[in-house]
Amino acid sequence: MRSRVRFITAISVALLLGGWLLYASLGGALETYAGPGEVQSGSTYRLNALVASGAPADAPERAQSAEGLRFSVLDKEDGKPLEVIYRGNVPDAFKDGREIVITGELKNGVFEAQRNSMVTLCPSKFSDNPSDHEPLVDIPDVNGT
Amino acid sequence: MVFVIIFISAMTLGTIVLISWPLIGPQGDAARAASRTRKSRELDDALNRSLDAITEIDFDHRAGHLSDDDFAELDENERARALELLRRKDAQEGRV
Amino acid sequence: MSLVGRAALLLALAAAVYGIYAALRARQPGQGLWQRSAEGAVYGVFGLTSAAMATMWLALLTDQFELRNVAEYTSSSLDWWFKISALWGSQAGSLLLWAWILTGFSAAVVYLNRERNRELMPVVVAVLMGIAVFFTFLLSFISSPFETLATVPEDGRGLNPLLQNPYMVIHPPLLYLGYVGLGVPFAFAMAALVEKRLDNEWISSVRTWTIFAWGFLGIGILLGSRWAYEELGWGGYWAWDPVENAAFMPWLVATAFLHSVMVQERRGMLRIWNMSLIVLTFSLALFGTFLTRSGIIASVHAFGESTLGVWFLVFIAVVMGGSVALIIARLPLLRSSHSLESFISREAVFLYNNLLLIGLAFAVFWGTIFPVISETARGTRITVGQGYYDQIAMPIGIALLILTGVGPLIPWRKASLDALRRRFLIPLGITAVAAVLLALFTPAWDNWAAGLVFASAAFVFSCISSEYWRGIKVQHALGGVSWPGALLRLFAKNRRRYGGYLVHLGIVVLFIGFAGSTAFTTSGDLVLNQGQRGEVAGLEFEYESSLRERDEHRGTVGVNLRVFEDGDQIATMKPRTNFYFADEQRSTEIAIRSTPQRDIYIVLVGLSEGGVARISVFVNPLVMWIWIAGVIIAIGTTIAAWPRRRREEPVTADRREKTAAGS
Repeated sequence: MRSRVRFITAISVALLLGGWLLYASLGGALETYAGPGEVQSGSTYRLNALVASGAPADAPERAQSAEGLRFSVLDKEDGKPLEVIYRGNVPDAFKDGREIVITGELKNGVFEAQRNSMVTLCPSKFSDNPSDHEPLVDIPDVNGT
Repeated sequence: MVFVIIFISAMTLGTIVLISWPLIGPQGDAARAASRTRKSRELDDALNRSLDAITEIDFDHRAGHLSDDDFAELDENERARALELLRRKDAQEGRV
Repeated sequence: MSLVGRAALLLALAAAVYGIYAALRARQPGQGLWQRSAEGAVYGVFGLTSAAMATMWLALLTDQFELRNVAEYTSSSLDWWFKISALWGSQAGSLLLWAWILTGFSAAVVYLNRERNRELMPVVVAVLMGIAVFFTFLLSFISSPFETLATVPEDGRGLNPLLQNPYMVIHPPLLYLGYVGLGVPFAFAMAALVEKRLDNEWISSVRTWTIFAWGFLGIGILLGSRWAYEELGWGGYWAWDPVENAAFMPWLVATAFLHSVMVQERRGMLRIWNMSLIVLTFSLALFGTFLTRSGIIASVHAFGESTLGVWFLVFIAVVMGGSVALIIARLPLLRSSHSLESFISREAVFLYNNLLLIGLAFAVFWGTIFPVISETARGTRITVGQGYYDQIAMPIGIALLILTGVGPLIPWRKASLDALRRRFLIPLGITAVAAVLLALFTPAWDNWAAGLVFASAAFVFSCISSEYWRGIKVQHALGGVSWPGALLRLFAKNRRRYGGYLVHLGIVVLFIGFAGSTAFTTSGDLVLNQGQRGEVAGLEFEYESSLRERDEHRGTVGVNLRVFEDGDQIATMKPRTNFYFADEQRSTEIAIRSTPQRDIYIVLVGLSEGGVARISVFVNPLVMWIWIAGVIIAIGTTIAAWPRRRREEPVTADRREKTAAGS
């Protein structure tokens, strides 16, 4: 008897916790990974793309200004471009050709990124391809650059 | 290259010696003596654990973390265990 | 060079395989010599991986650029200590470090147990060597650290400037000491299951290992945060990145394990649970290595596609499948000798603590793998935002914080209301006073969650202090010591408990740092001409002077800022930005001024040709306490884990009589 009560308590606690998790993850801020060709207005995306050549050298300064940093990104596969506007901290590794992930929404054909959401990726870390002779910059084990 | 070969052979040889020495080296008395001290060592460990537990139970009781009844029960069990270990130890050392 | 390293790893693989064979053979009665041979193999494997490590380090220090890992992660101009740490910059190198630490631990386990736990040791050795086989196999055939390049480059590509930081030198090894250290209790647990020795023996044999591994993991995580804080320039130290989560999950489950084993020791309950926890802990440690090395969670770090992932998944499946099957086979022997009698008792509080920790670990796990799940289920990679983690971690964190104070005060088995009132009256009174004082003199309650954390911190602090006081009184009453002597003897006699309470105090301090720095951060961007002043969070920043320097490797720009508070100058701060010509890499050097009240954190965003400086300023209250907490936790962990000195004469006549008298 006693153990059954305990069992039921445990199960309901677990269910409650699970339900809450589901609610928190599904009802909360969900962000879809997408390339430049896939974003649509009205929901939040994590845009994954390459920085098109011609990104300004003074990107960090521009990103701090009221107008924000404007630059173009290209789809990793089909090269489809998209214009991005961004404010906030620009990681050191940001430059032409770098793969980035940036969170935001599409508004009037321009991807408006959330503040401080830019993360630079490093495609060549732990690559198994010996011919990969991009300048190597490995992003270490902790945290977003 | 010669150096590399010597080094690799040395590593191989060293490993083989480490592995096979216990099987082919001198054994017998030494191994038996080791097994005897080992048995008494294990008994000592168990006894030490048990005595520590008695102290800790006593401490918990004094600090109010164990009720009198719980303390009596736990203490009795642990002491019985310690006594049993002591008896085994005496037997092993030939003291009866 | 490459040949020596490869040969050492291959030999290590062979010796490890032999070690498993010999250890299993030693399980038969009368085959004790095989165990000695297996242990010889363990020492041999350690010697061989050490030889591989030494070869790799030699290659790094002497710029052997024909090796891929040397060419890609160092350059001839790199400082020697970064060359040494470049070993774990690469995938294969970090696996080598894993294998080296694992075999080193295995050798230590064998040595320390050469006369102990003889029934358990064969299986322990077999399990440890099994893990070693996995890693040396990967290192020999899948991802070799000694891979050579067809054309030898003139110079290496150098180490990412972000990694040229002392915290990054020690962070990965510490993390690995934690991950790998958790393999030892796992091996003992498996041995206990196989040999059906399911009393508390295996737990007390690995107590020190578990606590140390847990401590290393925790300190490793903290140093990683510190690195992120000082290098990355966004003013924070934790972002719920998959790679951070990878280390955090096993830490959470190991924390649960450390607590629930005490219930087993004292009350004989939760045996199955403890077994499951240690299996889960070790699996999560492997999963953590897998996450950082596989590229499956392509979120923030996108470590390129790697062939290792599959191997790791298979190995994790084998580890989990094997141990779960073993646990199920031994279920009848794992029955509890007691059951939970009251929901207000020490064991119940441990259970709540466990449920919360496991719940949090599961939530983090769910969030981390959510993109993979959604891709499988719906075809799109959807990720949870940071809000998800914050939303879940905050309430669970506060509940756990309160339990760190409640737990130690609640008696075992059943707490009477009267006892509860006696114990909690003073701490609750102190909490109420503290809450009021906080409201009157600080802005703590402007953010209710932070206010709650501060009030809970006062509560836990007074609970733990009262528990120390209670212990001191008992110790003093036992006689023979002064009051301060009683405190020392308290630590000496029950290291785990009172060291553990010190860790609890560290956790309190940690939460104070978290609350202050998450709830009350102020930031602002300033655009200043020379001589101009700007204001952020009530502080004034005056752009005093600038500098531009360049040498053959890099150019540096910097500004010197004078910081004023209430009109008085409190500091001169010098944020810098370096630009490395070789790889066109920018590297920001953040200026941080740390005081117990707050950190002033300045990033130089840019300095225009005309001399206009753009800076980002973060004012982060109480961050310093996070690092102080790390030190307290490290000290507490060391005290808790420090092995007892073995008594030379194990049983004194005095104790013999006492024992007899009591029964």
